[in-house]
Parts: sequence; C-alpha cells; structure tokens
Amino acid sequence: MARIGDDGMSVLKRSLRNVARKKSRMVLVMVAIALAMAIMISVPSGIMSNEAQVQRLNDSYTSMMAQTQAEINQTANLIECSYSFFNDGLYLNDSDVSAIRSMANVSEAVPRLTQMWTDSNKSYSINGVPLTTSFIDSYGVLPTNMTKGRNLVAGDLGVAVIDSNLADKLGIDIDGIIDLNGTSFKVVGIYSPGSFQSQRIPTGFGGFGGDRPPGGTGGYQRPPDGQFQPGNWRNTTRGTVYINLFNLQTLYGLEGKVNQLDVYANDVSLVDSIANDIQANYTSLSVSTPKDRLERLQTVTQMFQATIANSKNTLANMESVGFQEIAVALIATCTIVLLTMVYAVRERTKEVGVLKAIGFSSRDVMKQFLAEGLIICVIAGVVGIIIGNIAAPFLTSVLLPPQSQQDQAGPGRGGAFIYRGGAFMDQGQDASAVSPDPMLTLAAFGVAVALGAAGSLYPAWKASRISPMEALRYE
Amino acid sequence: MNETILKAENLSKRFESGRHKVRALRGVNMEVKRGEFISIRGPSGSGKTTLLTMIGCLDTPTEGKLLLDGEDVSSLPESGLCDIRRRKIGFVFQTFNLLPYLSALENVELPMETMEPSPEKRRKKAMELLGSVGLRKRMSHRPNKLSAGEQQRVAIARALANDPSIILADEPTGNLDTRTKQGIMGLLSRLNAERGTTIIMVTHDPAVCNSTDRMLWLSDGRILKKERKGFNLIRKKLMCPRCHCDIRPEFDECPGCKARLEPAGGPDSQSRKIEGSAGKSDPRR
Repeated sequence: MARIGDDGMSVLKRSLRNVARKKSRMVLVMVAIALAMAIMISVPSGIMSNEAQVQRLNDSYTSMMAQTQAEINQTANLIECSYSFFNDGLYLNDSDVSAIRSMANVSEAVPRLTQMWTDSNKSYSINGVPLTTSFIDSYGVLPTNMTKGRNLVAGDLGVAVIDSNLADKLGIDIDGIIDLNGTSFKVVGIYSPGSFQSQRIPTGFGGFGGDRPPGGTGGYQRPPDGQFQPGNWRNTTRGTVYINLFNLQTLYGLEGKVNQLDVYANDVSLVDSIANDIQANYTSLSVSTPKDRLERLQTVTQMFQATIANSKNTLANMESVGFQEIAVALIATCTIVLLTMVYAVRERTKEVGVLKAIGFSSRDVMKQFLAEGLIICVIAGVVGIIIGNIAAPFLTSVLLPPQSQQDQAGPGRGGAFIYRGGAFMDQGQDASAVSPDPMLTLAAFGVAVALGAAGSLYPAWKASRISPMEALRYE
Repeated sequence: MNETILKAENLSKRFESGRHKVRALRGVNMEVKRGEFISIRGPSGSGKTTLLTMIGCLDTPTEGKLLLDGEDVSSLPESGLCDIRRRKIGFVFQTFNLLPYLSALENVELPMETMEPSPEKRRKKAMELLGSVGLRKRMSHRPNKLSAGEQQRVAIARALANDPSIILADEPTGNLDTRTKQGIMGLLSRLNAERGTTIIMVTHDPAVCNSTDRMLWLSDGRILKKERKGFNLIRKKLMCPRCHCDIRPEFDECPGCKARLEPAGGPDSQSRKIEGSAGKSDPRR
C-alpha cells in the first residue's frame, strides 16, 4: 500500500509539474473544459428551474381556480357591483346604497371603497371597509390569515391592516406607520395574502380581482391608463391596505361615496332578477352575478391552460436544445482533452523513451499520461463548477431558446408570470433564482473526470505502446 | 573480472520498412566480463547504437542469443525486458535526456521509484549519488540551470540509481567540450574502478577509447576488430574521403563504404585516397 501511495504521489507531482509547464496551453484547455462544464451545470439547472417554476405556477393556479370556484359556489347569492377605473369619478352615494339595500328580496348591501394610491415606485390598493360588528361578523369584510398583531375591529379609526408582502418591502412591523395619500396610519395587524395571485395583483388588476375578503371574488376591472405599466411593474412596491371606510372616504374627499357594493339576495333564484334591476337603474355600474363570474373563471382557466401548454412546449424545446448543447459540449471537451494529450504524447515521445529506458513499464507510462489528463479535467472541472454556479442565470439566458410572446404572458393583463433570463419567473422572482442543484454539480464534476479519463485513455495507451528505441530516436 | 556478464552469440537485427530491408547487425559475437570498461567504435550506420539497444534490452534481436548475467534476454517479452532494464541496466545518453521539469535530485530519484518503495531512502541515495559525481551543491537545480557537463554527471548518477550490472553509454562525451569530456571520462573510469561497474560505451571519439579496457570496432553490422588497452589508434587513425569513417592504415578498403583505398603514403602519412580517384584526401587530424 505504501508503495502505491508513494508512487501515486510521485506520479501526481510529475503530472502537476507537466501541467504547470505548458501554462498557456493548459489554461486554454482548462478554460474550454471549464466552459463546457459550466454549460453542463447551468443548462440543466435552467431547464430544471423552469420545470419547477411551471409546475409551481400550475399548482398555484390550479389551487387558486379551485378556491375561486368554491368561493363562487359559496357566494351564489352575491351580486358584485362596482364602478370600474374607466369610470373614474362615478360613485354610489349613501342614498344609492340605501336604495339598493331596500330593493325587494335584497337581504343586505355592503358598501366598500377601493382606491389605488401610487407614489414613486409604490402602488397600494387601499380598501375602505365598513367597520360595524354586523358587517365584520356576517359578511367577512376583513382579511383572514392574520400573521401578526390584530385585525380591524368595529370603530377602528386611523389604523390599518396591511399584507405581509408590503410589510416586508416597507420594513413595517406592528405599531409602525404607513403613509397613505399624505396621512399616517398606524399598522395594527399584518395578514398573509393567502393565495398566489393576491400577492401580486391588487384589486381590480387581475382576472379575479386580487385580494378580497371571503365572500367576494371581485370584478374584472382594468387599471386606469398610466397606473399600470408592465415595464415598471417589477420595480414597484405593491400591496393591499385595509382601513375604515370612513377614513378612506375622508382621505380622498369622498364622504358618503363608495365604488363597490356587495349585494346579497334573499334567495339564489332571485339573483338574476335583482342584478337586472340594479343594472337597469345604474347603467354605468358593473354588475356581476355568480354566473358572470363563473364564465369569467372559465375564460381565464382556458387562457391559463393555453399558457401552461405553451410553456410546456417551450420547455420541451428547451430540453431538446439544451441537451444538444450539452452533447456538443461533451464531445468538444473530450476532443480537446484527446487532442491535447495526443499532442503532449507526441511532444514528449523522447521522454517516454527515457522513462522506459530507466525501467518504467508501459503501465507506469500510461498511468503518468492518464494522471495528467485527469488533473487537467479535475482542475477545469472545479473552475467550471465555480463558473457554472456563478454564471448559471447568464449562461441559461444565452443558451436556452427565448420564449414566445404568447408564452410570456400568463392569465390576466401583464401576465401572472413572465419569462426572463431563460427562465420562467413569477413577477416577484429574480433571474438569479436559477441555482444549480448540488447533485447536478457533483454529476458534472464526475463527468469532467470521466471525460478526462476518456480523452486521455487513447493517448496514454499510445504512449505506453511506443517502442523505447524508437522513442529515444525521436526528434 | 573473469565472470562473464554479457555474451552475444550470432546477434543479428534486421529492420524492414516496406520493401527496404536493412541489416543493422550481422552475427555479432562478443563477451564482456564483469567490471570491464569497453568502448565500441565504428563509422556512422555501422550498428553501434543498435547493438547498444540490444544489450540494453530496449529492443530484441531478430536472430541470435544475448545472455545477460546468464539470463537469455533475446526472446523476453516487453514486460521482461522492462524488468531487466530496471534492475540491471543504466543508460547514459549523448543528449543527457534529463526530464526538464524535475530537479537534478528528482531526476536521479526517478529510476528508483520502480525499485525502492521508501521515498526517504530514494532521496538519501540520490543525494549520495549526486555527491559522488560532485554535484552536492547543485541538487535542487533543474537541467536548464546546469552546464552540459553537470547535466551529464546527473545522467550518470541517474544511471547508477538502481545499482545496475551494466552502464550503457551512448556517446556520453559527444556533446561536450574537450575539458568536460575529460572530466566525464575520468568520472566513468573512476566509477568503473571504484565500484566495479561494467561500462559499455559507444563513441566516435578515438581519444576517449584510450580510457577503456577494450575497444570493439564495428563496421557494417559486424565486429571487425577487438583491441586491448594501449592500442593507441589515435596517431594511426585516418578518415575515408568518401564516407568519413575511421580507417586504419593497414585496411585496403573502407569498412564503411567498401571503397578500395590506395596504399598509405608512408608511416606518418595521414592521407588515403580512393583508388582511381583524383579527389583530395581528407585527414581528420
């Protein structure tokens, strides 16, 4: 054992010296192999990341669809009435609310006011909700999933409950202050948005109205021009804030006015007739029945399914291209090692003759050249792993095929997920999220060593077969 | 000194390259005693180096038998030849052939890797050997930092590393100036005398032959002459004007190109002409 170990050290030492001797050549070879290694690491990483991302989005949307479907089913007697952003300036007055509430077969009408407050790189959806015990208890006007602090209670004024994403981005904790349209509100509670899309799409922006308290699924509203631009969407701090309806009305000088009204019918069978009556009286008002909401849900589901199908096609294309690139990288690496070692053997033919003359066997000579090939690949492999891990997002974006425009947009305006840097990203995610899997890195390193062995095998064998006499005469 | 260490019987070597067949050795018979210092001379292409590679087990003869320490090595496979080279042969080359990326000490250690498992013992012995060739202070230098003479001394130390039975030197002084040449020959003679190492040396240089016990004159793949010490060819040596090989005055034809030669002009004449040729002779010295 001692002999093997000592001999191994000597072989290793000589191999390292030889590798170091031809610095420029070896550096070039190593860079080439390292790049191939980096490709081997980053391309599968990008593909895996995309697969995971698409799967995650699929799961999230499927879950959200199911949740929305359940919500629609649970609120079969709910008629959602709202003025869209395009009808900016139109509101329902207290008298309108009272009139609707007093319509035949209407059990209750819950008024709400929603305003978008935008500042430099900030865009909040402010929900003003009526803080009375009956509305809170019976109509669920407040967010659920409180994670910190307390929820709003009847009679709360000057306080707010915000979603956890917003709290994180603004660095606000319980008892912190949030500025809304120039007025400070004390944050008393933080809630988890709870669903995938509600983290991103504020009320009125997405297909489902974003964050809404249980009992309401929101109406489809387009944002006013200029308020939402996909280009600056990524850099905008977004979130939802709940405050007392009275506070919000005062904040915007809209005393006695609301822009959303949830009307509850006494009986499900009467929903359509009530909706028709409301629409007849308020022609500009967007009136949405459960049936409308189901139709919208189906449309959005189809859009979503088409998008997922496109994404999967693109993924298949990515895999095909990616594996072709990896195959080319592997062949190139093997060829580079092979040619380098063939050249090294030819260049050092006389050395082989000397080694054999002083008693080295063919096996010893083969061991020497194999060790050199392996050392090159091990060093290059380590460099490649470092490059691969650092530059994976960049390499992925360069090497994987770009996504079609259709695939880039998910359901809803602006897309629920977008394609950036060779990877599907949801809108809160950064391209640097493509991180190589440790097992993949290990496998790539194994491939590097195997390539070293494969590429060095023939030259090493050839070196071992050289006749010592011919080798000594070689000039 | 009486023990035979090497015996060649009817040793022949043919090389074939397509249609061309070259007979490099044609039935060489020779015997070397342990501790002898022998030089082999002859014109270019006479088969000196081929004979040396046969003796050094770098190649096998086409015909004949070669006994090394009583063991027939003429039909051994490459693995067996490798083992013989490792245990019994030390090589010294004209161009030194040191590995450029190893220090003098590492170069001397190199052959021991195949024989001596302990790195400490290898190092110690390599240091001793380098000390014995006068390079104790140059051990850590790489070949490119050593003079030609120093490199050849490292090569000699390397050849001694595994305590070989025979040292085969292929024109060890061929690349050296006169003064260094004398130093290397002195070193080889000293090793031969002190250690009793058998040395077989191929050379073109008649001067270095004077340091050896015997000289074998090889021509056209055959041993033509065997001279004992004191043969002193130097004064009498002439050169063939056609192939420039060495000719002794008593030869009627050139042993290299077989040209018929005119008789020598006199006892001190150093010029010979080819019969029927008007060309000028070309004395070597």
